[in-house]
Amino acid sequence: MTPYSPPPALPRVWEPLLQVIQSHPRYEEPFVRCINELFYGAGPLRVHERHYIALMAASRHRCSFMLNLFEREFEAAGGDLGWLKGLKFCKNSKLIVLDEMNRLLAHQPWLCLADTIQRLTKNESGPHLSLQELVHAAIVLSHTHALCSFAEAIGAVPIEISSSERQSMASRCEWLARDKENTGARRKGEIEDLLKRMNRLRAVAADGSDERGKETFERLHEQPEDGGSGGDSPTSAGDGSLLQNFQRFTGNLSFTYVDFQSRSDSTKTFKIHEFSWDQHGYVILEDLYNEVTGKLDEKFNLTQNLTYKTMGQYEDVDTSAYRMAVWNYIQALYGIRHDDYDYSEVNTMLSREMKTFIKTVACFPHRVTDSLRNGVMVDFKASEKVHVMLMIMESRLQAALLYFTRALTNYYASDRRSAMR
Amino acid sequence: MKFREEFDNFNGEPKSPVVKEFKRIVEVTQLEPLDAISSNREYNRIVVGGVRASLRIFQVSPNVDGLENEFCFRLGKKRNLLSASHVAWSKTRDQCIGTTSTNGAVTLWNAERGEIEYSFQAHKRTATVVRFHPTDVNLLISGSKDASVYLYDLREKNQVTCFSVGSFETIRDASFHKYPECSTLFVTADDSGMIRIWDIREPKKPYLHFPAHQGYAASISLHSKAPHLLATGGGRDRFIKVWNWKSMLDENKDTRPMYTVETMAPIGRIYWRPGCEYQISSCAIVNDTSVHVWDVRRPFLPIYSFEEHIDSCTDMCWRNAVEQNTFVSCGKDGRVVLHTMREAARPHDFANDCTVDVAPDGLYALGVSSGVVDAQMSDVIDWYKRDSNRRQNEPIVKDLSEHPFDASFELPASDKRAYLGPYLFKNNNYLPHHEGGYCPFSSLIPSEIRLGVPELQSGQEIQKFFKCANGYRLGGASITELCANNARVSERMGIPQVAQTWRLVEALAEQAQIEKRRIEKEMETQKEYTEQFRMQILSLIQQERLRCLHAIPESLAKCRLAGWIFEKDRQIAEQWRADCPSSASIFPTASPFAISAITATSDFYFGDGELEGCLHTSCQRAQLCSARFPEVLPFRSDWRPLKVEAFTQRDPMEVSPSASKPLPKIAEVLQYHADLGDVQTCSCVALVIGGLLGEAIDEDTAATWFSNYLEMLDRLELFVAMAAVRKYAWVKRISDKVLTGTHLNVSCLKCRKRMVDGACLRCDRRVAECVICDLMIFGMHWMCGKCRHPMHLDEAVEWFEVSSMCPVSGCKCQCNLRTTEQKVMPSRPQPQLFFSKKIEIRRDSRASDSNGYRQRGSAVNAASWNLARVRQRRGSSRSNNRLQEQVLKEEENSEYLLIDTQAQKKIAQEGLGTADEFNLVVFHFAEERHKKAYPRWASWRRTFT
Repeated sequence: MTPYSPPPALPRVWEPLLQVIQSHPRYEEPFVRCINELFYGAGPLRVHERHYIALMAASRHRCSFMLNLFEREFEAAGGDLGWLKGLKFCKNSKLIVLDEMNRLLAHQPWLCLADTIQRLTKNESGPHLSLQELVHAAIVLSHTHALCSFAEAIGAVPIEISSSERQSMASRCEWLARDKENTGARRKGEIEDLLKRMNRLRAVAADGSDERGKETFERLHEQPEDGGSGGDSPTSAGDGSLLQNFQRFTGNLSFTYVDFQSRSDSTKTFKIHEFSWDQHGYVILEDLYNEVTGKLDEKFNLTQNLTYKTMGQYEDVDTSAYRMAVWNYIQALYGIRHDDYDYSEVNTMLSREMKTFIKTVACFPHRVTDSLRNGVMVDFKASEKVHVMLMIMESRLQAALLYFTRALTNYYASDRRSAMR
Repeated sequence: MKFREEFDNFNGEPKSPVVKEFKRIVEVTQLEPLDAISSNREYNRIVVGGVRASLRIFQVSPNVDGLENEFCFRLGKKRNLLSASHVAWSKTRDQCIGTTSTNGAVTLWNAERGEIEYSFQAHKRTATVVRFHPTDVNLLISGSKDASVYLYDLREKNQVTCFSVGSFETIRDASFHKYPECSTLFVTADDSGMIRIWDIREPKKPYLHFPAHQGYAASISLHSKAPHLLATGGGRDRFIKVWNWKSMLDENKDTRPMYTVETMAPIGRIYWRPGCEYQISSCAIVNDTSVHVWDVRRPFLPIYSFEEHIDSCTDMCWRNAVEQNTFVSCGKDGRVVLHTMREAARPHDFANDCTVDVAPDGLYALGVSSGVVDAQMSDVIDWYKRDSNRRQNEPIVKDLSEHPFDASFELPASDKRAYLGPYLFKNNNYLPHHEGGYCPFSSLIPSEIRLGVPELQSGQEIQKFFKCANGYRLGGASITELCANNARVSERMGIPQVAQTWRLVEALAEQAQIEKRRIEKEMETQKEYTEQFRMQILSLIQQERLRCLHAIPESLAKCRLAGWIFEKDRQIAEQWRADCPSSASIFPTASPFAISAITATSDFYFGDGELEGCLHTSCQRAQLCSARFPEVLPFRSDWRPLKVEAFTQRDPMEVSPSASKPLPKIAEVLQYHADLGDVQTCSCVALVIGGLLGEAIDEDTAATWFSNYLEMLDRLELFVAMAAVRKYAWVKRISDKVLTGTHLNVSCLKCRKRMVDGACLRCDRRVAECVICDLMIFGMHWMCGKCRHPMHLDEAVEWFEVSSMCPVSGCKCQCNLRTTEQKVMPSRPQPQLFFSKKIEIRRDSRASDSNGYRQRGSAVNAASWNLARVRQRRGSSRSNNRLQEQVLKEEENSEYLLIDTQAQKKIAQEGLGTADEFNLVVFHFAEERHKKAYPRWASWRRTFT
């Protein structure tokens, strides 16, 4: 047993996120430890390189808060300022080749295959990374993507910007302050409805037929969401100059999320019972980068099991069905299927607006607007909303990591196959 | 409907003989990962299932050397229903195969007809394991992710029994017991790492359960011959543990496993090898694609490994005990492989069994298993056989100076010892390595040990090293002294060249004026350190004040600011006191905060940029903590090498050019010694000269010298010398080690949380709060030994100039009187002579707190404790003062307070309360009992009254 040491303090730039997370103190500690270890602790990549990779990741989702944060951290870690002008100014060619992985993990992680990994690690002619470096980079990338989702969801504002900018962005964080005192004054009866539906679900026995299960899984994506996928028009951060800002660090911004059902490639659904985080993903990552893997695992478990048994102003509610619905829906967005879960529950538990919100936050964070934020979960407490956002972040991260580790396993197998011949 | 693909029987004709091709490795297809395997009783057919909805039967060739694909169950529309993660072939019903599925259904198939017989739907989530009963035809169990195990009876298909503990842990494996006496028991392993043994007649709670693994327990296997042994394989912790579960039924159970084997990768399935007592086979989930067979007595290296799988192996199946040399395994690569022991790789063959070690006195020993070195040893064997002078039954390893192969080694003349190898030869027979089957735990392993010292060194070297290491002084005096001393030491040890070096170094150091520079440096750093420390304390104090400011109502705050901190004005403070008489503590004088560095301007606080607001959030506090102490803590002499230009020669004309740079000269000398391998001299000289040598030698070289020297000292166990080296080392890497383990965490008494910056993180209790000014004390504080009230030093001084009583109101301690003097008081005899029971009462730091009394001592009894409480209660109804006074007085005299049970009764009856009376009561009863025994006591009593 290692002796207790207090969680290290993150630099001030992380303040806006931490302020919001503080409403869930049990989660805060593993979160702080994980971020500290991942971005500032021991690891195969150097500190400023990690921040640069995170810059690349943040620009994928056009999240200016995260971009700002990592720019400062990059400077603070002693990175070469010239690199901030753009990816092509970066002298370290290893980071440039990571752009492909960046694209894939951000939007369509199911395309991350053994080939991708092979190209990055066994490139004879060009720059290549060692396996540990690749794993570290992949975790940094996917974690930053998840953080972008979270940051946009809460509408985080960088702490040190000029006052004029601050005023214009002030509205973004107000919802949190307003909602903190929300005791359900604006009753839309949402929670009562939800509770009724949950009770009904518990009474109904599950139907055994698997055909129906597959159908419901597919139909999950048929609900019309916002604007469809692939559309690239930047919304609130509208002008071209900002877009250019993001284009510095990553190419091909038009590559974005597509609905898993309407994908054009031939990837099969990811069956979680074949390859799960607990049994497979954790162990593979732990072998290569064990400092962070334990902390990631802790975060996943905590987020899934965290419950205060309240819902709005009702106490002693078993919220497990709701939580599972949120978690499984997000993973389903990325094509991960839990065979023993009845996906029709998702439609029962989550309203259309809620699903839209979740999908936007997870897949298109830059399109989250204030109205979207205020339109969902009105009767719930602010901390519960934050909990849902945390779940979005963590399940998205887990989905990306599952695809990545499965690609790693396939890479090992193909290696062996070629060695045996 | 015919499902069998190869059955050529359209018109009822007998099947034409098909030439069967048996292959050892059958690759079904790469796209179909296979997850489970099971065989029928005769072991001539095998069923293999995979999660991607495949179920196949293979036939095993009669001489068990190949497999052939027999047929594949066609699953039709219900593909997804039947993604079998586990299969089992009933050993009692020959055609019955059971499979699990992802929707919780357990399906029974008929192998003959190739169709589903029945499907049980009892589980709510994925079923993970299914097993048939070994003897009872009708029973089978299945476990699933919903943490329950169901027992099905084939005669009454609707009745299923559920075994569950109400947890949410997935059941990973379940297994029936094989022995007649345990025929109603089955074992389960689940995600929490617990192993539970259930009796089928008792579904409510398990017969036995114990924790087996950290993380989930992946697999169970029961021994074929010993009914009490149970092997479990862990997932994340990678262990295979063997338990004697019957011993756990006893009261004083030993919950440790009998054997533990640590494997390389998380375990998927384990099986005992039938027929072999100690062998278990295992396969891993990820990272390792081989199947290993372990001997439980040897935890780290498997006996046999099979490497035919490309992707991880998921399950395997042994033949029965008669022929235990083959087994079949399946894996995620879609392969079904028949393994035989003949083709196994034996890792033991490649284990390194050659060792070398060096004794502290320089003797080298080499141990070699003579079985491995066959070729070279054959000459030795010949030699031995030829040597007719040798007696029979002699140990092989002996006086090695006669040995012809010892050319490179030379035994020291005084050291002709006979060493016995760990294994003796018997009858001069040379046992070849693998003759008769290698069993590491029972056969003798012939081996040799050779000893000697390398040519370059003689045994004396180590002696000199040892004595020099002890004799050298590395610091704490001027360089001249140190060098002279060390030169003497080395001269005495008989290494004159080293002594010469020391003298040379002394001369050169003198020339370079190292001493002078060092002293200057020391003064500087000392000043800097004290300054930094003071600034630190200052900042803490300021923060504390701000915090207190926020707690005080605004009207008072101004007063306080004005009255206390900025001016030494007693009147204002008195006015403040007059305004608020209800304050808990007395402020007799305006206790000036004598930290003189504070400038008394009001801007100081509110414009001070570093203290933004009150520090309430844990985040900010944490930040403070991290910025707590700067890294520069020069408890040792801190060196920062000066630039070369800063060094000026005193008289450049007199000194010859070659000697004008003494430091590089010294470096050259040291390099010479380092090349010789004499790291002792290099490091010691480097240490003596100190950090200024950093100009001439780069830090890494010096660090290497120091660490090597430390290693050598470590082997000789010269810990004092090591400490000296670490202390005087000017390389951060080495000297930082001294700081490890020197930090202590202080934790709060009440809530056990850490105390940081003098305050508890959780409940905000302070370590020491000054009783005069009521602020937290940073840095030094003074505390009276008796009443334990802490105060700031300067304030205490000011107070005690005026009064000799403790500043706390109600505490009548005469702080300025020393405790020791009080002990000798002639008028009061030592009461402990009279009572047999004694207890000590010590006081808590807060004497005003009446609950602060605590009891210690071995002879505590309940009655006395009650009495103490009675006293307290009585005390609290009056003012605390009396009690304190009482206890004080007694403590002054003796450390003991003695209480009699009879006195308790008296008090309870008569309700005596005042201190004096109480005292009297105590001794009154004592008097009754002991008057006769101790006549002197009577006279005391008279004086007391």
